[in-house]
Amino acid sequence: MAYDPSSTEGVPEAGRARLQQNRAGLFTSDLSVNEFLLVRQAGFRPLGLVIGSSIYHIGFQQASYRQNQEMTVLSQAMYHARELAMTRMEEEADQLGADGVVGVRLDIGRYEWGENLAEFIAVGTAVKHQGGELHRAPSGRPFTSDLSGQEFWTLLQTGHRPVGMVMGSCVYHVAHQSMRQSLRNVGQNVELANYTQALYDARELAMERMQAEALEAKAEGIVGVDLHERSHGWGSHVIEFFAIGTAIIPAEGSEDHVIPAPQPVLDLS
Amino acid sequence: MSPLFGRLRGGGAPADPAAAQLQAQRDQDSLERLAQGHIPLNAAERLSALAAAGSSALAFASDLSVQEYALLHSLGIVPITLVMGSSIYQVGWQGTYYMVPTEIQSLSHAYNESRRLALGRLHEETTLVGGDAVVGVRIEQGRHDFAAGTVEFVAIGTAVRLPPALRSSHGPVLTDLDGQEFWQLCAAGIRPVGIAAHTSVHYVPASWQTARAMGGGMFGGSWSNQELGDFTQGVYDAREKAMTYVTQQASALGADGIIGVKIDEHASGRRVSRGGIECDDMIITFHVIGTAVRDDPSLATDARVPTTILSLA
Repeated sequence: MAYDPSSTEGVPEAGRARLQQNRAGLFTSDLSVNEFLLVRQAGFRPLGLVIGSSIYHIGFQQASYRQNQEMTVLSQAMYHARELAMTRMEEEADQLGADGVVGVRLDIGRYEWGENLAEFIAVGTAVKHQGGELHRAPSGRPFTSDLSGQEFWTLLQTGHRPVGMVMGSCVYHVAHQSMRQSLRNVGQNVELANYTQALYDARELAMERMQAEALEAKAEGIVGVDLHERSHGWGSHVIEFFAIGTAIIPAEGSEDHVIPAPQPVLDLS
Repeated sequence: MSPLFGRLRGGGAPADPAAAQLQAQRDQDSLERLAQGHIPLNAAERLSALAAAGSSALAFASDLSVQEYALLHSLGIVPITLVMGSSIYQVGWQGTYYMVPTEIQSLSHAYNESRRLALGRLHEETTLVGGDAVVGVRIEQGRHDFAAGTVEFVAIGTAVRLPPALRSSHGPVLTDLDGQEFWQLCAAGIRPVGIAAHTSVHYVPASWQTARAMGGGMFGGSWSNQELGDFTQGVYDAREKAMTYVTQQASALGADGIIGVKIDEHASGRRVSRGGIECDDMIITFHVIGTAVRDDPSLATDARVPTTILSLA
């Protein structure tokens, strides 16, 4: 989806009025008190809660019963819908003149009543640096990060800054065992090589795609990677591997940055 | 009335018809008070008595943890008693369906009224005991088997007396912050001013395209990926309405912002038959709640810089 910073596509009348209020100075944020205070301590001001959402109909693809294969239609759907939600969130952040979005949560809602329907929603708090330091991603888009307020603060202490959330997704069909294979394995301790192979394949594809996104964002690395395996109601043999993390780059002028030594404490609670 | 029933209600059937009449009168008064959005008689009397006893009251009751209590104590915040507000509200919606995206006013109204009544009663209880604020408020949405088709909000927290500097000139302040959070905000020079919350429920009929994609009618479900634009727009509408009201409430409270916003959204389907085609319409419920805050540098106790620690626990 093309990124258009001035787009208010999908934001209804009431939403524009709300963004107007946010621009006028009243902020909303889903940060907890601790996170809020730390984000302020780090020199940022919260501007408003930004949300991107998309309700998506996921298409259909017939998998070959006995073949390990990526379900490209489904992978594509997961990518496209997440991209829609994230882009809309970033566009809202741009409306507020934010440097970026912290504490992003990317959720998928599935409902029993809509079999092929999924809701993708991205929620975060748009922030702006108070000193006017530039914190946008090299691409000019607001940065996004799924780090909590605490993690965000700690990351900045290390002389790095987030550039964007990067993700990789792969929906994969794991082949069923043939009758001969299952009979041969009855009562045996044996590795099911084709299953192992399938999971490796799917995971590698997801990880590789995430890394490719990070390279494109000119990142130095990715922190806080979360890798999960989910089956969104596609039956037991179709799974999605999803990798998501925050790509980071060194902050300007941080070459001789020294990370303060942590102080060990014994928690009495 | 069986004698057993009378005993269950509190120590034997009333021997004296006058006492029974008095009790009936009190029950009636309580109901009337509830109808006006107030708290029942028993609660009001207990709390007034507590307030009248003042500092000579025996003990306080609170749901604060030890740490919260210690922190609040260091700010000179004194707990008074546990206060509660609750309201069970019947949802009037009769299950019709709409042809165009519509806010289901009766449902939105039920949620908002129930929450308003619960918070109002919490406020009233706090005022009665002479509290300046309620901390550690838990707002829960209840559901009872005995009352289908209702929504309930319960708000429970600890009423506290604040030191003069922290007091608000507009009566008790409600927050959904726990003790630590309250303390931290005050110490950082930020004053909580109240709770802002809203719920909106929207009905979104499936467009022809959506119905087709989802597999209605004789065409079968679509094989291709596509966004359901009408449903997405419906979520946006519901969300914007809720957020706009919350923002307005915060402005009315004189706040600079709202923190700790919790969003709870839920979509459910509703099977309808439109022009011979079966399809699912969507009902989206969007709850937003947060604590409105205002900068008040005079409260700041010190400018603390966080230390990085390594927890050995």
